[in-house]
Amino acid sequence: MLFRGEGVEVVKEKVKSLEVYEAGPMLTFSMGPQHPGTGHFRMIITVVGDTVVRCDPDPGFVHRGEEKLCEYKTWITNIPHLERPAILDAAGMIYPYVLAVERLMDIEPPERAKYLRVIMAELQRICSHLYWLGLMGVFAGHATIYMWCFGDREYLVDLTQLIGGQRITHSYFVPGGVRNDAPSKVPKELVKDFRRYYRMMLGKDYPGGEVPEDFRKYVLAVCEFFDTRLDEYYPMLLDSPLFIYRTRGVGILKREDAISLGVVGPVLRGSGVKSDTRIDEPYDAYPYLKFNVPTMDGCDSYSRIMVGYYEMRESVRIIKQAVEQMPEGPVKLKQHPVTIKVPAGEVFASAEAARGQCSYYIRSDGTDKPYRVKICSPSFRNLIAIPHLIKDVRIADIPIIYWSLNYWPVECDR
Amino acid sequence: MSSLIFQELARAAANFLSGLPQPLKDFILFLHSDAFIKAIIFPGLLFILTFVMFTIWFERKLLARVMVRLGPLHVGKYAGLLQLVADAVKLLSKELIVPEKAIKPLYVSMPILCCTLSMLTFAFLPLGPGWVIYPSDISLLLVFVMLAITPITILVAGWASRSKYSFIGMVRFAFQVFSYEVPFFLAIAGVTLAARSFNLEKIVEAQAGLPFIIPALLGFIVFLITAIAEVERVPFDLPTAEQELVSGWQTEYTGAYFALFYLAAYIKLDVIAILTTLLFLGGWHGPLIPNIPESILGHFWLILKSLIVVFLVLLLRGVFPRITLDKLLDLGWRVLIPLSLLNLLIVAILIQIGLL
Repeated sequence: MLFRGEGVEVVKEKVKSLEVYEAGPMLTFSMGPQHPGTGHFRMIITVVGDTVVRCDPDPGFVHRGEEKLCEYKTWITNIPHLERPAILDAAGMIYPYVLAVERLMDIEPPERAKYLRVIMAELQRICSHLYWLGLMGVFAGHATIYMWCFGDREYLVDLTQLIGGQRITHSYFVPGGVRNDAPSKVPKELVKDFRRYYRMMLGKDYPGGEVPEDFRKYVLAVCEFFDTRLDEYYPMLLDSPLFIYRTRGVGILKREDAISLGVVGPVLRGSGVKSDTRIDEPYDAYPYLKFNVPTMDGCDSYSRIMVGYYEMRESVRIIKQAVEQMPEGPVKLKQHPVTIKVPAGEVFASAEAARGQCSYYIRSDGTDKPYRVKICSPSFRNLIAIPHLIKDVRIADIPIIYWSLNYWPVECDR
Repeated sequence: MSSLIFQELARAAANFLSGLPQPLKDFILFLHSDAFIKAIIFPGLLFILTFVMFTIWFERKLLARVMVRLGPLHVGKYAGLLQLVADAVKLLSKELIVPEKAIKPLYVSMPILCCTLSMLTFAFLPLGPGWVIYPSDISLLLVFVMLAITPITILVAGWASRSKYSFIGMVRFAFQVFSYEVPFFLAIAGVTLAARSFNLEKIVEAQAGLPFIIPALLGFIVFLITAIAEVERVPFDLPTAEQELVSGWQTEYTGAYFALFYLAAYIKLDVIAILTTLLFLGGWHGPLIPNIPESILGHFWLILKSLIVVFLVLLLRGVFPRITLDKLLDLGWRVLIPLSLLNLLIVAILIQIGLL
């Protein structure tokens, strides 16, 4: 069938083409960009047997030119598209931009706006971390935790929608405050739905029967519920012996390596470095709130995912405090026209996004458009850890290590 | 009056038959024969397909419950019962794609072979006293011949796909076969020793008083673990691990080919469940139930017990993450083989002191 009456050269060619696997002990294959384990991203993996000897990350499939786009749009119209790189964490992505513009304009938002921003940022952090934890389950072959995380995430996203008007990418932050105030009452349907879900998940009615319709109390109720659900995730996935076997000691990023590679966020804190922009350079309402920065000394995938788990706990704490302390008052200095002019100058601002420190460098030449915007997103800084970690590991460890970094290709490519 | 009509009808039918040519007559008699009914209806094709369809539907609904979702809902009158039919129609209407570099004859024939061999296993499984398609004194061995041949079709399928992911998945599957096959057979040895027969019917008859799960508990545990590895269920689904290898050895298979492999996997799951029931759980023996006639009581107990085993195996998928290859080999060789040998020793001692 293969050698049907052809010349020697043709037959040789055909025999060669039969060896799809390259000659020798090595096998090189591409993981992504159409692979259930990566996303819009590619890793070129070389294996010997079951051991990975080399991993070349190949980002850039979802490059959108956000930085260049910023130069053609005005200061205000930049906000919606700058959220797109990390839609699950829109608040974290836009926070440093708004801070930087405020610094250039030398304005300070009202107190209530500061608290609303913090609430929004922490809600988005929880949503992003739930996505991380849920997908971590999937990457380990455990689909249940994924469904649980996404089911619970729904009620936090509903809160985001209540405050910002959109489930994701709400463009809520504007220079000098937030776009609108939070409503004082929660819609009846939402309360009813939450009550039904509460009964379904916890097997009992909401204490006191009625879920409060007051915004403040409703947020507290959801936070309380979510805290209880976090307790249930622990035995389901994080304490499961097989999951611990899959993740503990896998993908070890030593403390010194983490510092010298310059990784940020949960990856850095999972290596035992207590570094968080919210504490190191506090902004907005964070100085008034009490919270811990969880770190783990294991330096492995398990430590990183556990840092994410404890951070959700801390975020719940922050939201509870912020809702209770939030003063009344205006939420923005004034309604800006779309074509505001920002004084000339250059500024650097950073904030703690869900995946780590997100920084913006902005230069203004005094017109209604930025002269330059440079974004340093957390995933971009964590990318360098991928070839460092995926080396001398088993093929089965690749998805675990990759996802324990919480790498988000779109955020990296910008 | 009516009996007269029936007599008349029977005479007419006999006349009609005798008037037919011999081959056609044989064929009609064959359709009416015991063997044909067994092969096509009860322990045979129709039963297998119904059982497999129920298993798949049950898995979807059960896992949906575990994961707090609804599962299939719309197709079929009640709870998405016909979802599988819709899936099958969709898969069968797809284009049959054979990769350019694949070895076509092997690539195309393996799904068919895999499905057929898995179904053939049912020929030797008694689903009630006397209800077996091919009665044999070595039916247990024949079942294992079938169970040992199906992995070869999978290995060939992975190799014939000529894709890198298929190749890695195939190698993983080969390792998996290495790790579970030996303890799998050793776990059976205890049962055959206790029943002193390879005939599945005799094995079940030997459990009339006491199911073998009690003297051979270790063997049961080893058998169940290795059986889950045999059918590639979570936590032992590493040859088709999605996040690591796209779909392992079945990456290149689409449409009808994929449907056949899918069917084969679930047939194997049901075979394993029924086999566990026959070998360890006492087969069709069970207490009398007032409302169920005695003629189907045996089948009722057998199917109920198999469904409990199926339930256990399916539930694992909702609870466990995937295991790795080195852990699987470690488990197979260092834990399960000693355990199954220990089980053999215990059974031998029990026989020696006259308890079995």
